[in-house]
Amino acid sequence: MIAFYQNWRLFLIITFFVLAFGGVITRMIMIQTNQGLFLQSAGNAQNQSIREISVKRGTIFDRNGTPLAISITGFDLFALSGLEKKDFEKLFQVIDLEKSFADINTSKKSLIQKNLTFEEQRKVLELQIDRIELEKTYTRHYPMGEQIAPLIGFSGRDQYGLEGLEKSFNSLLAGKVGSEKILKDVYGRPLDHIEILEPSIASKDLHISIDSNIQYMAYKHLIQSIKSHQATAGTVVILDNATKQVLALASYPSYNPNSPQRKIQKNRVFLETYEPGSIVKPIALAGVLEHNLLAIDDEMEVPIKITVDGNIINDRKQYGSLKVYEIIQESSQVGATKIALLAGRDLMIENYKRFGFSKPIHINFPSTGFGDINTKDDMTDIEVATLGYGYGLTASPFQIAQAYAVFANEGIYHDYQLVLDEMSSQYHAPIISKQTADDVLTALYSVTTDGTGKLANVKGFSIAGKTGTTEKLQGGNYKSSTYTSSFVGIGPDQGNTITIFVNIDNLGANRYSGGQVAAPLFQKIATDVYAYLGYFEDNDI
Amino acid sequence: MMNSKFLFLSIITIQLICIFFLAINLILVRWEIRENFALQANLIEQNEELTNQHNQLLTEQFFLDSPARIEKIAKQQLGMVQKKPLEL
Repeated sequence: MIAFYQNWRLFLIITFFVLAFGGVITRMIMIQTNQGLFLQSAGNAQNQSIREISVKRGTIFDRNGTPLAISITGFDLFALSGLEKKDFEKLFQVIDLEKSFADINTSKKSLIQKNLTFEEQRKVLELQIDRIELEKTYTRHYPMGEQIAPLIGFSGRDQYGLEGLEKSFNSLLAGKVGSEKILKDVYGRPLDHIEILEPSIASKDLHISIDSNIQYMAYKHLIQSIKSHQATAGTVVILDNATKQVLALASYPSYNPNSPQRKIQKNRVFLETYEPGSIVKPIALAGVLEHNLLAIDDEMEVPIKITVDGNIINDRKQYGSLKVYEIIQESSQVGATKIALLAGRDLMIENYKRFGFSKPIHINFPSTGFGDINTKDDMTDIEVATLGYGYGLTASPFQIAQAYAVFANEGIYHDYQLVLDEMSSQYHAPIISKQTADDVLTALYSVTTDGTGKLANVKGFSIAGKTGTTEKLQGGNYKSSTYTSSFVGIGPDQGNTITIFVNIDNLGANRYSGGQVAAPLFQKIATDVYAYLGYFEDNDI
Repeated sequence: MMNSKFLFLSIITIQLICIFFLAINLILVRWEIRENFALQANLIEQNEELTNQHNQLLTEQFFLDSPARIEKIAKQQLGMVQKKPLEL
C-alpha cells in the first residue's frame, strides 16, 4: 500500500512533466507551422537590413594633379513622421539648423537640413533620436568652372554624367552601386555582414592631359578678345607636339557647371565645323609639293584677278608674280586658285582626307563633328578652286589644329591624346615627307615675318603660322557682314613644340580679318604659354 | 569489460570537453568577427571622411594657387603690371 502510494505520487509527477513537455512541443509545432514564416521575417526585419554599398564618383584631374571635377560627401537630415519638438530642440543644440520646428512637416518625411558634415552627422547620431534619418549625398564641384565646362561637362545629383567627359567616361567615374544584407544591433548599428546581394564596382579617377594653368591663359585671352571685338563665340586649341597631347581646349560661350541654373553650351572645339578659309592654303600646298607639281621657290604669275567658270577671283593688290611660299605669305586667292587647279579635284580631296578632314576624330567625347568635303564627281573648276582657299569643305577647330601639327611633326599625322588613362597607342602615320613639311614651315615662317600674320609675332621667338578669314554662309548665301577669323601657329622657334589654334566667330564688318583679330589673340596666348613652359627669349636672361 | 567501458566513457568525456571548448571558441570568434566588422565600418567611414577633407583641401589649394587669383592680387593689391618687351 505504501509502495503504491509512493508509486502513485511518482506517476503523477512524471505524468505532469510529460504532459507539460508535450504541450510545449505541440505549441512549438503549431507556431512553427502556422506562424513560422511570419515570425521569422518579423525577426529578420528587426535585426537584419539591406544596405547600399555606395560608391563615390571618381575625380577628374589635369596633368598636374589639379582636380577639375571632384565629389564632396555630405549628409541630408530628414524628419520622419512623428518627430517631436523636444527631439528637434536636441538637434538645434548640436547643429546650426536653418529651419525651425514650425517649418517642418512632421506628418511625413521632410528635409530638415542639407549637406551636413561628417562631424555634424556624428553629433546627430549620438543623440539617438528615433524619428530622424540621415542620407549620404555626394555634391560634384568643378573648381575651374566655366573655363573648362564645355570639355568636362557635369553630372546630375544622382551622380550620372550628363555632359562632356563626365558623360563619356561615366561608367569609369561612377563605378557601380551594390547592396548587401547585414545584421544590426538594437540601435541599428551594423553588427555583421550576412551576404552580398549585388557586388559594387569601385569608381576610378580620370587623368586628362589638359594643363589647368594653360587652360586659364587660353580662356582668359579668348574671352577678352571676343568682348573687345564684340564677337559672340570662339575657340582655342593648344597641342604639345613633343608628347602628342592636348594642353588646352577653350570654348566660348561657356557656362557655370556648379550652378543648377546652368545653360549648357556645346564644345565648339569638337562640334563647330566651319569653312576654314585661307587657313587651309598651306595644306593644299603640301599636297602639290608632295607630288612634285611645284617647288617652294618656283615663281608663279599671279594677276590681280582671274576668271574661273565665269566667276572672278581677285586679290587685294597686284603682285605680278610670286614665289610659291609668297602665295602663302600674302594669302593670295589667285595664287591659291592656281595651285588648286594645278592639283585637280582628286589630289585636292585625297590630300585633305590624309590630313584628317571629313574623318571622325579619335577623342572619346559624347558628340564630335568632323566636317565634310565637296567630293561630287562632276566638280567644276570653280569648285576645285574654292577648295584651294578653304571653301567647299568644313572642319572643326580640333581637326585644323591636328592637321597643322603634321608640319611640326616632320610630316607624320598624329591623333593627339586627351585622356592619359587610355592605354591604347595613339594612331599615327606619315602622310607627307619631312622635306615637304619643312618647305611648308618655311612658307609659314614668312607669314609672321613679312605676311598677313605679323601681329602674331611673339618677341624673341620665330613663329610659323597662317591667318584665315571666312565669310559666313547664312541661309545658303555668303554674307559679307559676318566673319570667322582664325590663326594657327607653330612654335617657339625651330623646336615647334607647341601648336596653337585660335578662332573668333561672328565678327562684325569693322575688324574681322585673321591678321587683325586672331593673330593678336594668338600672340597674347603664345607669350603667356611660352613663358609658363619655360621658353624665354635671350634678352630676358 | 571494465576497461572498454572506461575507454568509452573517457572518449565521451573528451568529446564533450572538446565540444564545450569549441562552442566557447565559436562564440569568441563570432564576437571578434563582429568587432572587426564594426571596426571595418568605422575605418571605411574615417577613410571617406579623410578623402573628403583631402578633396576639400585640394580644391582650396587650387583656388589659392590659381593663376586667376594670383593675377588679381598682383594687379589690384600689389600694383604690378605686365612686363613690356625690351627695345634694344
